[in-house]
Amino acid sequence: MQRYLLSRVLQSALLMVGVLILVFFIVRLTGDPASLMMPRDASPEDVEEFREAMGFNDPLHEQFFSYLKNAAVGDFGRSLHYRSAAMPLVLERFPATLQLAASALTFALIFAIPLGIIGGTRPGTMWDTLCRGIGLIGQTVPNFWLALMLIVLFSVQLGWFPSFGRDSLRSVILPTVALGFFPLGKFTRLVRASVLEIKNEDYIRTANSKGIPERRILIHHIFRNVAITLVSIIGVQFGYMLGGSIYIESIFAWPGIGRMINEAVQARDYPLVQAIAVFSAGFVVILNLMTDVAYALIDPRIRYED
Amino acid sequence: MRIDALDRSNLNSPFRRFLKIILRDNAGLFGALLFVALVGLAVMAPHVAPHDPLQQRLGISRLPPAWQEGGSWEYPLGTDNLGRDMLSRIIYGTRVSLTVGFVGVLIASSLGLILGMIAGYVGGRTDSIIMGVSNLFLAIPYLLLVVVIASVLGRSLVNVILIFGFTNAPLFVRITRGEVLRIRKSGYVESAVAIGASQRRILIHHILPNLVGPLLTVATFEMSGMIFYEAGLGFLGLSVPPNIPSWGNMLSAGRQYIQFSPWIAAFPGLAIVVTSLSMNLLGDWLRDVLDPKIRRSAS
Amino acid sequence: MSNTPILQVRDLHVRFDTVDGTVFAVNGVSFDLNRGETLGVVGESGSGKSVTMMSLLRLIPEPPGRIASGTARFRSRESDVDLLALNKSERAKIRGNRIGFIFQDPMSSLNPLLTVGDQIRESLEQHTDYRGARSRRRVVELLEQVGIPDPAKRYGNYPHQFSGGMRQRVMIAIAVACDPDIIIADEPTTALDVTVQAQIVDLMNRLSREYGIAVIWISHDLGVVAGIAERVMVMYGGTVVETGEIETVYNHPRHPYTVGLLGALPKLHESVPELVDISGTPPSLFSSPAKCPFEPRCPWAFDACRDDKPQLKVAGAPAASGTQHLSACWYDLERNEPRPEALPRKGRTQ
Repeated sequence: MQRYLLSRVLQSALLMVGVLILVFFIVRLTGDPASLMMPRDASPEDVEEFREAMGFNDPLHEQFFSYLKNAAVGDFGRSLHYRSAAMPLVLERFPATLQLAASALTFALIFAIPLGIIGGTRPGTMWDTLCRGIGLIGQTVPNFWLALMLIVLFSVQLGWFPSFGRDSLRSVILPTVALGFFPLGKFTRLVRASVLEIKNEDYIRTANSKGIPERRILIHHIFRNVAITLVSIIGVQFGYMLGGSIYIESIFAWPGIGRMINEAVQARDYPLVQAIAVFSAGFVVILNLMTDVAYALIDPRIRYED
Repeated sequence: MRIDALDRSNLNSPFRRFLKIILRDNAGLFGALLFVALVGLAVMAPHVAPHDPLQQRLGISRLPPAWQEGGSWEYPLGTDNLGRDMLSRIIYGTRVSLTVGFVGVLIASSLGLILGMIAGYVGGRTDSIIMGVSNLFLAIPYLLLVVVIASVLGRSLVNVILIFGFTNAPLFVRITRGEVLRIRKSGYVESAVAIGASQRRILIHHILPNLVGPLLTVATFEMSGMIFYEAGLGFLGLSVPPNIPSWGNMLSAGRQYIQFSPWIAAFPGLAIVVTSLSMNLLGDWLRDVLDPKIRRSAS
Repeated sequence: MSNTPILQVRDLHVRFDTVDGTVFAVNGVSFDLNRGETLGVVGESGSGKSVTMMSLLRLIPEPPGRIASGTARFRSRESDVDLLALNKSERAKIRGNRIGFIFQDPMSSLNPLLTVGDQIRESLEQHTDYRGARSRRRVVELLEQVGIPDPAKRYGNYPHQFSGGMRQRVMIAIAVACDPDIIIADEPTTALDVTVQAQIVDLMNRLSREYGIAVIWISHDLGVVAGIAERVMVMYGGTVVETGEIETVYNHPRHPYTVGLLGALPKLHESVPELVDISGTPPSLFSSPAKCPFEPRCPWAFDACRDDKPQLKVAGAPAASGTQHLSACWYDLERNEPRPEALPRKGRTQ
C-alpha cells in the first residue's frame, strides 16, 4: 500500500506542476496579456506602462520562472480589482464555497443512496421507475436554469426562501438543491447500476446459499461494495460542483470563489482568475488523492498490497 | 418461394435481436425521434419560425405566453425584453446549440481517436506524454477551465466550438487508447497477427470497427454536455456574441426579468432540457444496443 | 427411515425467459439421493446439471429463471418438506444449514471485502447458537479441518490473500460449518490446478465420510466423478439420459451420449482403438424437446428418436448394491438393435 500511496502522491505533484504551466499559458493564449487585462478603452500608453509593470516585456522563459518561483510560495500577484494579494482573497472566500458544496453533496447522497438501492434491488417496479426518472432528470436539467426556476417558485411566488445571500439556514436551501441536483441524478444512477451489478456477483450467490437474510446481504455484502464505487467518484463530483458554483453563487449572490471568478472574469482581473484556477485545481487534485487513500483504506485488496 | 425462405433465414439472430431491442425500448425510440425533430427544426428554422428572431418591437416587449392573461397567439411563447418573438428565437437557438454540439464533438472525437490510437499503438514515452496531458485536462474542474479560456479568447462561435473540441478530446483519447489496448490483447487480433496481417489491415479491419460503438455512445453524451456548457457560457456572457439568438444568451437576458417575466428565462431552459433529454435517451439506448459491456464504465 | 432417500426430486422443469425466447433448461428431471452417498452428475455445459441442483433452493436468478413444476422431497432428521414449496424464510433455514453449497470459481465466490473467518462465521451464527469467542474458536477449528495451516492467524485474512485451492477450502469450511445433510458441489475443482484438484477431492471424500454428508458432485469430467462418486447421473439437453452405479456406467454405457463421453475420455489402462468424439454442437434449448435431445448428434438415431422422447428404462442388470442401471434411449446398444417398444408403435423400422 505504501508504494501505491507514494506513486499517487508523486502523480498528484506532477499534476500540480502541469496545472501551473497550463494556467500560465492560458492567460497568454492571445499573445498579448496586457491588453487582455486592461479595460478596452485604455490608451496605448497606459497598456504599455501596464505591460512593463507586469513584466510582460521580459522573455517568456524569464516570466515563466519568476511565475513558478512565486507560485511555489503561494504568491500569484496582486488582484487588479481589489488591489491586494490574490491568494489570500481566494482563501478568504473559499469556506463559503466549501460549505455550499458540502451541503449539496450531502443533499445528493441522502436522497441518492436509498433511491438507488430501492431501484437496484427491485428493478421494474414503480420505485425503480422513479429512481430512473430522477437519474435522467438530474442529468438533463441545467443547474443555472434550475436555480432561476427555484427562485421563481419558492422566492417570488411562495416566498418561502430568500432568493439571495448567506445569512440564515433558510438561505442555504435553494442553492443546495440547485447545485446538488446534478450529483443527485448521477449518484442515483451509479448506486442503482452498481447494486444491479453486484447482485449478480458470485459472492452474493454464496451469501444466499448460506441462508443469510436479504436485509443482511444488502447491508453487509452489497452496500459495502457499492460504497467503494461511490467513494471513488466523490472527488470528481466535487470538481464538478466547484465549476457549478460559478453559476449558483452568482445567481444566489453567495460570497464564495465561484462568484468571485465570475466577477474576476468580467472585470478582466486575471491575476485573481489565475489564483482561483490554481487553487481550485489544487483542491481537486488533493481531494482525488484523499479519495484514493480512503479507497485504499476501505478496500482490503489495495490495503494489503505490498 | 425458395428465395423467400432464404431471406427469412438471413433474418437470424443479430438483426432480429437488434430490431427487438429497438421496438422494446420505447424511451430510446422517443429520444431518437426527438433528436431528429430538433435537427429538422435547426435546418428548417427560417421556414418554421413565425417571425424574424431579431426584429425588435418595443411596443409589445415582455408579452406573456399566449395561454396567460395578456398573451397573444401571434406570439405563442410571448416576447422578450426587446419585444422579440420567443418562439422564433428558441427555434433559431437550436442552430447554435446543435452546431456547437455537433462540430465540437466531431473535433474532439477525431482528435481523441488519432491521439488515442497513437498512444495505444506506439506506447512508451509518446503514450506517457499524451496520457499525461489528457489527465491534466481531466483533473481540472472542467467548467472553470472552459470559463477561463472563453473569457481570454473572447465571444465568437468559432472560439466556443474550438474550446469544446479541444478540451473534450482527452476523454476520447482515454477511451480510444483503452479500447486499442484491450482489443490488441484479445485473441482475434493476436491470431490476425499470427497469420501475418499487416498493421494497417489490423487497424482498419479489427480495431476501428470495435471503436465505433463506444465512441458513438460517448459522443452522444458529450454532445449533450457541450450543449449544456455552451448555454452555461452564454448565461455568463462568454459564448456567442449577444446579437445571435442562442439559448444561453436568452437565459442571460431573462435572468434580470425573472421576477415579473419568468417566461423569458423559462422557455430557453426548457429547450435545453428537451434537447439534453433526447440525447441522453438516445445515448442510453445506443449503449445498450451497441455494446452491453461498457454499460457500467460509462456511468 | 435410514433407508429412505434423503432427497427425492420428481419431474423438475426449469425455464429461462430471455429476449430471444424461452429456454427449456431442465425438462422433467427425477432422481433420488441416498443418505451419505456421493452422486456424480455429469454433462457438458448447458446440459442443465447445475441449473437442476441450484433450483432446488432457488439459487438461480429469478427472473429470467422460473421453476415451472416439480417436487423435491427433503427428509432430514428434523424435517420432511418439499423444498420447492418452501417460503423465503423456511428456505433460508435450509440453505447453508441443512444443505451446503460449493461453487466452481473460488476466486469470485468469496466477498473480497470481508475476512474469510467472518464469512464462515456469518453462516455459523445464522443457523446455530455459537456466538462470540466460542464461535470464533469453532471457525478456527473448521479452518483447521479443511487443512488451512496456521488457522488462527488466517482467520483475519481477506480472500485475495489466499490461493485458489485455499479459497476452495474456505468454501468447503462454509459448506460444512453447520454439519449439513447434503452438500451440493458445483464443479468445485474445475478452476483449480490438477494437483490441487486431487487434494480437494480427497478432502471432500474425507469430510463426507466423517460426517455422513450426502454429496451431489457436479462435473463435466467423468474421470473426476469416477474418483469420488458411488453413483452417477448423466445429463444431456436438460434431461437425465443415463444413471447407475459408477462402475456399471463406466464399463457398460447404455446411452450413446455416455458412450461418446467415455470415448472422449482417454483411458490410461486399456488400449482404445480410436478416440471417439461427439460430433455436432450441444442442442438449442429454445423449444421443449418432443424428441430425443441427442438425436441430431447421435450415430444410432432412427425414426423413433425423432418422433418421441425416450424415457428412462432399465438398461441392464442391477448392481450388487441393488442400484438400478437406467438409460433413456430408443436403441438397445447391448443387442445393437432398436428397443422392441420403439418399433411396433410406429409400425416401421429404420
